[in-house]
Amino acid sequence: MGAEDRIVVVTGLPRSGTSLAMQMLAAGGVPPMTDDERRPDDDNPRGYYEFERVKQLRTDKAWLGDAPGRAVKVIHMLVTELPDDRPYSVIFMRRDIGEVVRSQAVMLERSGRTGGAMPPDRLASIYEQQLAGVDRWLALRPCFRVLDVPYAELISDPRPWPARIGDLVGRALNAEAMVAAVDPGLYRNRST
Amino acid sequence: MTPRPARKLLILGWDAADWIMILRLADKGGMPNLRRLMRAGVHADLATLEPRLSPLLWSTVATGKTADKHGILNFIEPDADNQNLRPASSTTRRTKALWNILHQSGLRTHVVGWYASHPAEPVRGGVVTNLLCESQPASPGQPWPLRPGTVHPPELADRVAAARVHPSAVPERVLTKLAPQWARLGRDHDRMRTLARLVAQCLSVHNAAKAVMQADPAWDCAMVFHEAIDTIGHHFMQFFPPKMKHVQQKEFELFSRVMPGVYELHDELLGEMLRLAGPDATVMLLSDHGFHCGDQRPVTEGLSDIERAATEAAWHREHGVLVLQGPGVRADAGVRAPSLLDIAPTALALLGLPAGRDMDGRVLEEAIEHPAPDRIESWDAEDGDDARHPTDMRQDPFEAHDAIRQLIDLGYMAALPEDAQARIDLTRRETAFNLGMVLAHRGRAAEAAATLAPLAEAHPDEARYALSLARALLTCARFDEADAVLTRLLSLDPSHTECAMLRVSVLAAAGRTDDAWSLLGPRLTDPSVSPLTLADLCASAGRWEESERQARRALGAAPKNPAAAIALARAEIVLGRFEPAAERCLDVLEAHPVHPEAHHQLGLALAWLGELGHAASSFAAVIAVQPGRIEAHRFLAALRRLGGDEPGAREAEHRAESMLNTLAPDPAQRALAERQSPRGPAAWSASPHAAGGAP
Repeated sequence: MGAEDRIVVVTGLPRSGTSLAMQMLAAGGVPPMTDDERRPDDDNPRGYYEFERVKQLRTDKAWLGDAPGRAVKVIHMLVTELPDDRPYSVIFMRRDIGEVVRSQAVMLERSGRTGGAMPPDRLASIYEQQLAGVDRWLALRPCFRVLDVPYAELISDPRPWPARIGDLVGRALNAEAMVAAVDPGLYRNRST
Repeated sequence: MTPRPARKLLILGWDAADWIMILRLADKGGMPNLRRLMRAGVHADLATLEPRLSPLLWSTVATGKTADKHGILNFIEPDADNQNLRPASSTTRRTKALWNILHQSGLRTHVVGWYASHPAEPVRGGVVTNLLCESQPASPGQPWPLRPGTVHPPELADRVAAARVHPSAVPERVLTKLAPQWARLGRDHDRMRTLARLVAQCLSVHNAAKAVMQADPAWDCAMVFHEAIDTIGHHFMQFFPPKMKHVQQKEFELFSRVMPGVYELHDELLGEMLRLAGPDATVMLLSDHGFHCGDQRPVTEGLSDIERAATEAAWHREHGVLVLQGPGVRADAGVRAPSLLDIAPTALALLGLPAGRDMDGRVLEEAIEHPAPDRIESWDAEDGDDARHPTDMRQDPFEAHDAIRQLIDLGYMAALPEDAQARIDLTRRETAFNLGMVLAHRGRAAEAAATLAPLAEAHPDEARYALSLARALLTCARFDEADAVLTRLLSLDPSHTECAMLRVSVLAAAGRTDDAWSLLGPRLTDPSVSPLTLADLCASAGRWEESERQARRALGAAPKNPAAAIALARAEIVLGRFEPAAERCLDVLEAHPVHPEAHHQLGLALAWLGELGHAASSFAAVIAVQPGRIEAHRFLAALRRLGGDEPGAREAEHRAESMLNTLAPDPAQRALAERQSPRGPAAWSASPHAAGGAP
């Protein structure tokens, strides 16, 4: 089965660097699956690279037929809705959960929404449980090839990552363009 | 080495089984298997807990802990998909169940049909969850897959799936036993369909239990749960004689045999279980509460779904059943006021294992041949393989829902349809209400009030929230707040009698007895208020002659009602008629030997009669069952002091003080708890009666 048959899935918690990973893939030569419905804003000035139909993954999986060979962003809680009858390359973005929760709080405040209205430590704890559940689910399914990408490492030195991501997706990528896509200035909303 | 009184322990749960029905059938020669167990073992009333909701109660049975600790607080909870609701699940339970503890201790356990056991935990032995009969097809020929997670280990799944009974396959013999004229209606009749569905579930659980026990006979403990007496009772107890007013004669004739038939069916299944378990098995058979079958049956026909849901618990009587029989059980023993909290510690003791100090009940040692092992701090603190689900699966479903809402608000997941959100919001607030009720009944009134206040604020027209909040505030001696809550509810519904009556209690407790009486007086002839309630309220307002009159009315209507007899005795004592009061209490105790309120009133009457030794015995009997009864400790102290037992008096005073500190930490609450009845220990000590002689 060739690289063009694999669906490249970028996943992780919201604000863990999934949009950045999509930008790198696009720069590297993996076409993103996006409808551009969600426009760039202060939280993601370079765009979200999202595809609205992903949000309906529980009830609508038809679009996956157009996804092989392309990169699509899937929130961590919907990964387990992907049918395990086809091959996937999964880039799983990992970021310090405290940073994630703080970044989400800033984003919610900007949008005037309340979110889960939970204490940050409880939310972090639930996110950890959710991630562990997704990890366990992925580990049991050999059609998912997974690469964990620590956000902080990627930001501080993106150079090793194009090759690793290329190995995962099974094709040579434009490493220079991928590295250039990483802008450390976007590493915001952390406590330090 | 710790002795293990029971080689194998069979725990049978019969939801809502009631002694009144059982004994009525047994008296006519029915229930032969249960009668044999009762004859060879011990049996008792088993006290339930509030709220009387099965998932909470059976999880308490399985954990030995109240629902605020075990975390199962409702029938349903949000599903992981965030759109739907699911039955309360094993991943929501916050503490180890018996099967986890037994697994950790190297024992083999089978668990079949238990509430909140889905998805099955991988215990040593076999588990068939309470979702065994889910996704039932319309006809028996269609596929009927087991829901994932229903059976552990997976190799038992085919056998368990094949053991299920489709409603259309319930044998005619069984239907005839329940509704002898069923053939006139046919299986497609609405009520017959309901009956067949619930009986099919019952037979499926039984068959699944047999399949698991036969596949793996070397078990140490087997726990099998049947809910049919409760579920069928909610539909068909209305047809049991005597005929209720709203029931049509035709339906009465068709279905009056259903409930006796359901009990007989359970007895038949019990016989099979006992044969399968073998003569060396120790048996615990219990129910979580009783089920009214007489004049206290509520009418639920014609109510809306919401009204009906709120009324269903009114069917549940405060005492369930407990039978213990077999090796390790002292057949000659009595069991002293057992409650659902005592089941898990007692089951552990029968299997030679210690209870945790964090379990809320006691080992029923009086019924066990060997002393129980010393308690450990907590089984939850014991490391080791306990066969619970991985920690990432064990989530509070409402917190998980909140976390998803965060993802929705961030724009990463689709918003919920309005009706789904409304269902989840309703489930959340009912779950919070149940928690409030649990806390209130555990003596944690301030926490209960804090839990209930937001509900009452957000839903002022929901009387249950306001009334429960007001009761919690009353217990905390926060009278003005309680009065405000009730006044608001009365402004919305001036005819709400229960609210008005509770306000009488609040005003009386606040010392506003004239206000209480002016509210109560016009209601003395209100037929919707029971004479017993009126007797209690008149007592709280200090109107003892009227209290006596109402208690006599209550006793006239129900001569065997112990509460009416005790209300009358209480009024008689205050009015100085000690001898008839003592006689009345003795009559109650003859029928109900461990009735703490009867012992208490008897103690008061005897003390005022100068029978000091007997009075002291009565108060000791109260404390044995209700160690938190402060007035009993105080009276005992006074009696001992009079008898020259100064150390004993000080010990009783110390206990009263400890109880006060535990139950009423707040000064206002303390003042309320310390308030004594007019014939309480302070009045007695200051009276000439206190010079009557030594106990």
